[in-house]
Amino acid sequence: MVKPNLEVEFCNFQCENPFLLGASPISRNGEMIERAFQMGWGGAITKSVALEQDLKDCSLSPRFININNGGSNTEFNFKKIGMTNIDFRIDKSVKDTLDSFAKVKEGFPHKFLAVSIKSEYKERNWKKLATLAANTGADALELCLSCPDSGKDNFCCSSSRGYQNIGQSIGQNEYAIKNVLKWAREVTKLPLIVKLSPNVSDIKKIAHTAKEEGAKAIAVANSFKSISGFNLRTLEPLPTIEGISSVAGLTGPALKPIVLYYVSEINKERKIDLDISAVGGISCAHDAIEYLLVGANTLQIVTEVMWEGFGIIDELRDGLERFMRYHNFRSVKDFIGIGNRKIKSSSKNLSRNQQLISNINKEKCIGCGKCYIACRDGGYEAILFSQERVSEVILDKCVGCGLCQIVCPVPDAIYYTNKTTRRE
Amino acid sequence: MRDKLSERIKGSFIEADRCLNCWDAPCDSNCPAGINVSSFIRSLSKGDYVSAAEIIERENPFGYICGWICPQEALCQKNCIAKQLGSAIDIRSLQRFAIDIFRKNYKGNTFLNDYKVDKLNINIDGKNHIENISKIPNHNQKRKKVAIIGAGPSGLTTGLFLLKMGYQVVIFEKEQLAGGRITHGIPDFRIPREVSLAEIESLSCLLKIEYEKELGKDINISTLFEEGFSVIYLAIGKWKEYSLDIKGSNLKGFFHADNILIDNDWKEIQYQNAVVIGAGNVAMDVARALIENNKKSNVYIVYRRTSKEMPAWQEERENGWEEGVIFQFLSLPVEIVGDRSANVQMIKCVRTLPGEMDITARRQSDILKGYEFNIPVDMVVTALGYQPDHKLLIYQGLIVDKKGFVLVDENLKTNIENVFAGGDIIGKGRSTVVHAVADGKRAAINIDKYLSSRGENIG
Repeated sequence: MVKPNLEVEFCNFQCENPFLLGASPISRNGEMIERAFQMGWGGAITKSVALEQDLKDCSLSPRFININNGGSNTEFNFKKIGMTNIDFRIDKSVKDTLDSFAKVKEGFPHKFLAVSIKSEYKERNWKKLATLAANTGADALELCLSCPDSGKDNFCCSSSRGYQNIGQSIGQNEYAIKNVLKWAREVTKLPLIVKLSPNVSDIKKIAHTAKEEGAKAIAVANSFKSISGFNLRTLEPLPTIEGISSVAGLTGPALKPIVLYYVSEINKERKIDLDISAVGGISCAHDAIEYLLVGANTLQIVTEVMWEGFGIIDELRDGLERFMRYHNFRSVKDFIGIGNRKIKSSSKNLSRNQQLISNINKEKCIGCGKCYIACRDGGYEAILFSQERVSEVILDKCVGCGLCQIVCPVPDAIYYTNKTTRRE
Repeated sequence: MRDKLSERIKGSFIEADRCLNCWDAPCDSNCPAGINVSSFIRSLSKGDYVSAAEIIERENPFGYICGWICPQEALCQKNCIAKQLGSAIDIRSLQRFAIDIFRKNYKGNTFLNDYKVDKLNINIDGKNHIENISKIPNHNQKRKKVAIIGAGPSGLTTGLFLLKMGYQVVIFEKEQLAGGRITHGIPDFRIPREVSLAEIESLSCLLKIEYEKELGKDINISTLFEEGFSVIYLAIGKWKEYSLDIKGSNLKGFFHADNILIDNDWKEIQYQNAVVIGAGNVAMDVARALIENNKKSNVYIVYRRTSKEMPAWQEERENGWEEGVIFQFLSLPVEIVGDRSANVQMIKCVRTLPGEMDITARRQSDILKGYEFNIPVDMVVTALGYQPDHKLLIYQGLIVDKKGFVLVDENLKTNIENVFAGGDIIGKGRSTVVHAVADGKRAAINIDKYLSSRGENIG
């Protein structure tokens, strides 16, 4: 069988695979991106360059905290569902940073490189940055309009000094987005990627605005505004900096279902028709493929790389190839967005003819009683549990909601059958 | 043996997460001390070790010690459902871990002296009951004096809970240190001595304990009532070793289990081959202590029945095997032979055959004639278990059963009015710390009920 072709087209560039480094500390300088390219990443979006980094302020410390399934104890970090971060700035000057990016692009002409820029809402700054960034030889520019660094809640970005407060961050304001895109287009012909904020009421509207103003692609989405939690012993918020903390940006696996929805919504909207780069909680090939199915062209991975290193690219590529061989897809384009056909916008559009019923496989049941208590207190009181620890479904009461399957610790111990056939 | 806490943190949280949190969990009803095992593990699985530590220490003041030595395979782990998915949850380690990490992060704090109790979870025959502590209007009633004889795990538990209920408690202890079997008899490899001593110290410092007061010598049940105590709780344990009627027990190199487990001077003795007679937990402790002290020695356990009938816990047996104890089953020692200077030289044994079932469902052993054999030894230790000093108990006016244990009713009351008894002294073959704690809790509840039902006309 032919080896599947992982190439995707993004911003008029043929990427060798859809896996890109997202704009974040993992693409802080040229050396890091170079290392990732050598390992096989398809491209990179650089950490957003900002004029403020010449001020030589240092970053906050500590900047990260783990978000767990259960409690905010720092001792307890094995069930991470995400991570929050506050404030990151590149530790080099704008010139040095851009020079190192230019060097990477020169060394790896076949790899996609977009330079990300961000600034407060000032025409002069945006134009200056866009000109400088375009001179690196990058294949595209990413306009970071989503770190709310020019808004009131200043997190994860660097312009805490002298920002012009326009009431909202740029990414939440259609008028501001229009202007920034216009300024960038005036100084460069490179394709523009707009990084959208997830903290908006209607992401489709923002995407549409970007399209109208000549953006080539959008990146969905940035980190979510969040509060990381408290240390209950000291009553200090996390991550604690001299006793206090700030609103932080949530990243990691917890975001995936939400960002999948955003990507799907934007892809379904015919008139938007932009390349979509998905960012949000991709931790394995399975996650990545799901994003492709709802319409992403490229995939940016950040948090998982920060936790596990650039090496995960092998597993991502292999997983994608295996999936494509299994379904006989020759190229990635064959299945981008096909999942959306099967997703209705509301559960009202689904058929009620399928009526299932839960069955307990007595051979496999270990008698833990979890299905019983879940159904009693969260379902339809349709499971009996005897003194001998045997569970039994009351056929008349079971509506096939599936809650018992979710809590059952034994795979396949609870299975569905059709309600009507069962009754006969 | 002492593991570093930091190395255990992640593993312990993952182990707690492996728990299925079963409905009506078997572990809950199998803890004699009435700890809500499943809820403390659930707290741990959420990272909340503070709640976990509280759930444990609220019900069991010896929760930390039990976290080292409890025979979990026979108790909470016995019917663990997770066993069917691989292996049972290591509940004992989680119990120790919860208290360890709580004390580390909260600077050695404990819940023991924190608050008054208003209810206790009592486990009787595998069923949990929540017992509410009486609230009596007459305040004087709660200031009644209670005497506790014996500062072992049972006596300390009763003392602590009665103190929290508002009674005046005085504990009489015959030794210079509190702790009973924990201080005198649990070898170092099961719980480091400094750990157990520190635990006992932190408990006994909350209570008024009069040391070196022995029942029958310095105090008597009748005189305690004259001194103004309303109720006596008898928890003196069992300390008299079963003796072995065998030729040669006067030779040098012949010891009792107490000589090994409590004293230290035997450690200077050179021995190459040692025989332990007996197959209970005490025998396992002795055998392991002998190996621990001299790793090159051969330590035999000589037992007249087979491994199936051994009274030692499965876990203890396996530990013995792992550490190299040599088992001689179906062997009955008949004589210890000494050399010219009266040192033990060898032990004569005969083979036995499993015979008829006796009343304890264990096979009797029939002697197999003509199959005598000798084991060369330089040390012989008998570890046949302990019994109460029934003469002392009878002299105090108590009724005892034929094995010498004090007879009590279901409320732990003895035949003497106002005298309760619990722990090893009432027998029932459960000589563990956790069972002593269970009796201690029941005694505290029953004494409280008893006193508060008596109204004002008493003392």
